[in-house]
Amino acid sequence: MADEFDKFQGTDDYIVSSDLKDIVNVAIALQRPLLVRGEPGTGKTLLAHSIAKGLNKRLIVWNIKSTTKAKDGLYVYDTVQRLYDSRFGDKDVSNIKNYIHFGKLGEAFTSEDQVVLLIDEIDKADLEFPNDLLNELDDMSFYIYETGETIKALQRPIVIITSNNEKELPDAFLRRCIFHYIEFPDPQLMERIIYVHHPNVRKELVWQCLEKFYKLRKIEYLRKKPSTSELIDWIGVLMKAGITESELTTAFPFLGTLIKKEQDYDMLMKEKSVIGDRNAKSFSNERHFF
Amino acid sequence: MVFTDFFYNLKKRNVPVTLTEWLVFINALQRNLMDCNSQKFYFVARALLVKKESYFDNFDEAFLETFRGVEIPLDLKDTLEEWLQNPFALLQMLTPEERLLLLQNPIFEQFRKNLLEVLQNFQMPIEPSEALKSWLQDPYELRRMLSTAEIAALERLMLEELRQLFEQRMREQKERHDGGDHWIGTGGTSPFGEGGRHPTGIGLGAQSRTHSAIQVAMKREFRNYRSDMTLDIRQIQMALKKVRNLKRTGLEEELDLEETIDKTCKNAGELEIVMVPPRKNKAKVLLLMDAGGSMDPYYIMVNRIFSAAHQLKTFKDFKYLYFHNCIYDQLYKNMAFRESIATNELLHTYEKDYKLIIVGDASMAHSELFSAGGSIDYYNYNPTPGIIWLKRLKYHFEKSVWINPVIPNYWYANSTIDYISKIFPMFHLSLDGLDAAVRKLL
Repeated sequence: MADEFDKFQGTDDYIVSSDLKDIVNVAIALQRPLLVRGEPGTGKTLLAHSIAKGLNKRLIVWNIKSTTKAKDGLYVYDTVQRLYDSRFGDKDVSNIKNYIHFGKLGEAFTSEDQVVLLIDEIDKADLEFPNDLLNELDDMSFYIYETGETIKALQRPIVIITSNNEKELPDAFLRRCIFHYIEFPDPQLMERIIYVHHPNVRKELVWQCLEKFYKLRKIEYLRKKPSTSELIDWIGVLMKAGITESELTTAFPFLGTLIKKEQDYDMLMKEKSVIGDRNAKSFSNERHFF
Repeated sequence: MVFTDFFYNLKKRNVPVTLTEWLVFINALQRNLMDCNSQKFYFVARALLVKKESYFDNFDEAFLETFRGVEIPLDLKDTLEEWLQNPFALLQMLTPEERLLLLQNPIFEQFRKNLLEVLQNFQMPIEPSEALKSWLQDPYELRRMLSTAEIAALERLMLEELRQLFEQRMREQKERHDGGDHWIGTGGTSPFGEGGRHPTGIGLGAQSRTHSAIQVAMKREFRNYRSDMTLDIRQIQMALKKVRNLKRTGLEEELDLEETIDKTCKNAGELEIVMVPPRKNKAKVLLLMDAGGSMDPYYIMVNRIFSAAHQLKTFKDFKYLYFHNCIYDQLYKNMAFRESIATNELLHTYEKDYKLIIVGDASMAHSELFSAGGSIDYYNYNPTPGIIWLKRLKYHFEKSVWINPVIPNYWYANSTIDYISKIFPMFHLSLDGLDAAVRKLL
């Protein structure tokens, strides 16, 4: 094992803070999974894509659903298929191996080159799910009961795990990971992110948009706060519609791009200070957002 | 070089770090993966040792405690300038509990005297404003503005440097604010830009990374993420998630064996598998809230949390009622204490599988709890003492909890809180407390 470790420096299409870069490199060097938590829309999934691209490695994505079981990630023994095939007699059912399909983790282990494995939104699954993966993540191997084979990772994959703040993860699992919490980007970082996606946007428009965006995020009553991707979409829409920043000071066009919940939208439309219309009904005295 | 002090400080601050993580940390140090005395050290240490963001603030405390004396605070001027630009940001960084603690610190008195001396001997180009004078006269103002770490750091700063700094700051203020003599900036600075210098808002120039690890830790950015302090309005979202755990999980389809066999037989032996979605068992919640004066900030919040959870269809049924200080023979449907329902009726209407959650400070005169007629409501003489009613409730409902906004440190023995906690399992109204309470109810 070489002492020198792969240096991840970020990629052109993904702005990453220097602390996160350091942590990624440490995770790779220590060969431990990296657990990334944060609000939705902070770029957790994109981080894994960026790492794979930056290190020139294949990316395997395992999207976790609420019904996912740990075993599914290793392998699946398709008994039902085998039963159906035996019924109709035209396939060779004697060899179990034909019915063992590798899950994403199995795929990562059996790959000849080192891959980046992204386990996305691990907190969607059952509470016990991360614990079920513990041994396999530690040893980097698993045992197939039906064939008696032990699959060991040829090259230890770089494991990135993302989690929204939905559920708590079990302690035993957390202990094995390196943890980073991605905070919502501050205005400076957000500005850089916007320029990556919209290189030709005018500075003044960006500043106006950022100001309105962060004020919206401060509103406690919103069911769903607007996130990074929504801001980027909004700016794209404004650019296409040719809206200028001076128009933005008095109105709030295309609010629906930012606010996705109907109740939030209705409430905001009533607020005089949001849409800047003097004729709008004023909701109540205590709620002065701007 | 082994940072054992650091390890013990972390444990002292309740960061759940074990030997496993510590060894990884040491390993990383040995392999030179983090430079000491820089921001990298702080972030990598945090990534290796702390696995939940709710402990980030505790980590900051331990980090400051261990490494505070280590670095030379040459960068302190930046912090001080930042502070002078916007002392209100610092105000927000302190919790009420911390402000209380700071008042007892004798260092403040000394600092205040030093500062006054310096400023008296020093020829100011302009007359210090009333704001500045009152700021200096009123030690409480000053105390509120600084954290313990900053006070300690300031002590080390030479008074001369301090004087020069003030001089420079004064001049700069005069230039920028065009003769205004307001020393301390007003509350509403723009959220970005460097300390509000840029009027329309966005920061200029590249991000400067000259801040040291200590400064990062001093910022205490993650204070709001802590889960062990009394619930605050900002934490409602998180609290909501805890409460929603009352909905049981595990919703995958199950093999319906009976139906499968049945269908397969009907199919002349052709295999036919039948899956069935599971039965959902949602909880029914009865929430009783203390709506007497001291509970005002809390019951609105608690009601909001549970109502929101109810809207999200967490509960099969959700009802709430109010009482004042203690539960007697009536419970009220609204805060004005007009419409009421007899507690006996409640016991007959709500089945025992309702989960009973009582939110209150459990603080009252002993007579209110133990005596007939103890109710503070003059017009509602209660023949049965409050404690009997509490016991009746407890024995009727299979699962019940009492949630108390008062900090557990103040649950003194032989107080009414103590007696009530012996009847109902009592939890603190914090994120951790809510978590534990919900687990008790499941």
